[in-house]
Amino acid sequence: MTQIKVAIIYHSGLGHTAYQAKAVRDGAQSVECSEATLIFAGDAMDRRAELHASDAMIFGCPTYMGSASAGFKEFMDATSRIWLAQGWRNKVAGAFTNSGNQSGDKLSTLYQLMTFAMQHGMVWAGLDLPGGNNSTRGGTEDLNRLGSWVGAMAQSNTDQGIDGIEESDLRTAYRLGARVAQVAVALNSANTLDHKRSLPF
Amino acid sequence: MKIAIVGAGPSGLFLAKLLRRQSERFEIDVFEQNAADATYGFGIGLLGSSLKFLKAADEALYEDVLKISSKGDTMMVAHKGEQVVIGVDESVGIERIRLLNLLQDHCRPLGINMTFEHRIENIDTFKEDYDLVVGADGVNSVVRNAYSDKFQSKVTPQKNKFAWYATEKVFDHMSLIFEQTEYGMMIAHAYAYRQDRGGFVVECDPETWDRAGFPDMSNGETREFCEEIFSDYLDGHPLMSGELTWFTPNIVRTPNWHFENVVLIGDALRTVHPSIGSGTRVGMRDADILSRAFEEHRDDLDAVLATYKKNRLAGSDFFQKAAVQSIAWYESIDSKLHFDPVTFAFSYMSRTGAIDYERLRKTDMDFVRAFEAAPSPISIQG
Repeated sequence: MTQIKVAIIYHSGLGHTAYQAKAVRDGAQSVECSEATLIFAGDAMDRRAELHASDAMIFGCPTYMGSASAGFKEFMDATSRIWLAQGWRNKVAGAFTNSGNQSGDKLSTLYQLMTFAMQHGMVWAGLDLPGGNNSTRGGTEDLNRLGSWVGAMAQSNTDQGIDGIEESDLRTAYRLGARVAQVAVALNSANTLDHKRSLPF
Repeated sequence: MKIAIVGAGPSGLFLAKLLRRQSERFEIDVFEQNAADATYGFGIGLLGSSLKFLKAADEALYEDVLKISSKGDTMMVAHKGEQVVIGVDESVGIERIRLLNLLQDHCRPLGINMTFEHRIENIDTFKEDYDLVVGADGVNSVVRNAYSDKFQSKVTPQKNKFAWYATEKVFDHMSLIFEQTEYGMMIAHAYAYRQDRGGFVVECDPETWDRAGFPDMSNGETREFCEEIFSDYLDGHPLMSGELTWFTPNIVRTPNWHFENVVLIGDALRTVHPSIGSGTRVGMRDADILSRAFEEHRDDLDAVLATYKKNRLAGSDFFQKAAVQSIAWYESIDSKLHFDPVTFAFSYMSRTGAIDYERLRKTDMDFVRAFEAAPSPISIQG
């Protein structure tokens, strides 16, 4: 099988989402024939060749004020020329987000990132994990304890650094990374979709 | 207006200078229980950014403070014997006694009366004799304690024990050393405050403290023990101690900042914590804001004191919250010991939830790259 490339494009305000992004990267890297790279959103347009060459992209940012952080939105808006040319069509996409609040309306951000990927003609890969912490036998240590299938959610306490993220959320992020990479490997071996295009920019 | 300032530390002296410079209608008497050349602690660390307000408030003092400071823009976190150096915003170290002497030199020509080795016996007389009494007398404030029913302060002792030393070993970086010993985790905070001198503060939790046998050790034995534990970092330099060896910091919180003609500033009002190194800065900023309130409201004391609290409260709470979070990080150190040195250092940097990731990418991209490259701890555990 040929090697596939997964780019994790992330933004982080206080370091927590960067920590989540690392778990996503490690999950994507764990899949056979998959190579994963972290790219900071602010650098992503300077590294667009790597994005063009990728088979999958995973978008991640903190949820601020109920939507994607400004640093990530800046990257989204900067991709409009690629979108016009449908340069990322048929690449696989997934997303993750983190906030201080348990909900924090994180689903808005995941929808926003999914819409972004859909506009780019990408193929969405969600999270294939049963919901956790939803029964008397459940607890915060459960995978997908925040119960989202559009993408991976994490919650990190506002009075702590990176050790304030639940380990279960990092494991959930890891599983999302693996899932997106697996879908990319499968699509790539089916070899029916053309998703790598040479773009003039 | 007659003002008594109790305590000739950085906040008290700075307030005296700012007020007297503002107007000669202020007759200011500063009272200090210690001698003019005595001081507690050896050196202080200030973030470069914290000097901005000082420059705005008193440019001459700011220039003089810079002259007696050692500057640095790196910190080092040592964990599992590995030293991780991180580029950070500029910070300065100052020998505390030199800062106090400098402030005294700035106060003297303005006609501020400074009385040293004077212990306040009856604060009520002060309250009657002066138009305003300022408690700038530190964490164990006599003024605050005399009117505890008015100020309603809450004093919470912290868990960990601290020992304050100086050393001639010159640390190139503001250093945090985490040394796993057979007794438990021992931590050293080291920083230069002079070209040939640095502060070296040893910290451990009470369980480690017991297991190491510190309760039964003399000061000399304690010092030798600490020298031995941190010998890899001290390069054979001895530790030098003041009068006091172990202490447990208190967190002071005060809901009422003032009543009638009495007001608190600095550590007397609220403490931060040695681990965020902001006590001096926070206290001097109190003085700055109180002085500005006088500029605004002149001799309307009620308005002055109300404005002081209104304008200072948010900033004060911010620093105290950061201090409490920082303490919590140290007190839960065991949950982070499995981190690799880079992740551990990042965890430290992010502990108050106030690290700016984009800023860190500017001050030290190599460190951020190393953090990105290090596997997530969950991947290692499987």
